Amino acid sequence: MSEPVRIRSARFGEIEAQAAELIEFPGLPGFPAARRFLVRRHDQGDGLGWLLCADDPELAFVVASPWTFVPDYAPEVAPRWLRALGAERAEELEWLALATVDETGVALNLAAPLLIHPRTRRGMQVILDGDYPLRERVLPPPQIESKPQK
Amino acid sequence: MLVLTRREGETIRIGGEVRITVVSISPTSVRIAVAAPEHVPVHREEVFQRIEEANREAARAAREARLPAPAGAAPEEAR
Repeated sequence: MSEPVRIRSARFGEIEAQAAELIEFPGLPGFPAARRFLVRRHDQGDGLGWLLCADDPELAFVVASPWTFVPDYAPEVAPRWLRALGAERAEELEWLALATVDETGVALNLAAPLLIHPRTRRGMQVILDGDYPLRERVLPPPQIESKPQK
Repeated sequence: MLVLTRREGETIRIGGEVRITVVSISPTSVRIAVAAPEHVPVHREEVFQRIEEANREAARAAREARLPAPAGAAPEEAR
């Protein structure tokens, strides 16, 4: 069904994936040429994952499910987003928030989440109506240190 | 850049699918209606710029972030 592909990442080297794992975006604000992405969890469970761009080895984002950190996050879904992603109902969609990880901790962009349809493999970054924070601080610095494996 | 003069109620057409209509004019602002296909996102410039900047910052931070490699990446010594 699906053929293996190799994603080149400047930081992580080559990553094996299936072509069917890739998600097609119409670009992202600031990165209009970034179209194909791979979502991969970290190899340690910390609630964060990687969004790796298959078109640009230099481009990767840290992502998280917004509800892992913000359980009461409840944005409205515009019907045009469903149609653009080939979804019939909002429940079909997966949500990811882009995370900014630096020495001050982890902040999530709750104003412009990524919506992904797992079946059509289409995704888009939407800009929500309303007052959602662009940088919601969810973790202080010490907790983002990777813990040594037992 | 193309600059056009329009009156209230008049429209500009961009390509076959986008129409921009001047709804009303006041001394300090203009109300504009945009009709575009659903796959064309329409945003205020400053809102879009904030998201662009946040995305660039997230990508910059991700290059440096001290976080584990993605599952499926080759072990570090093999890179």
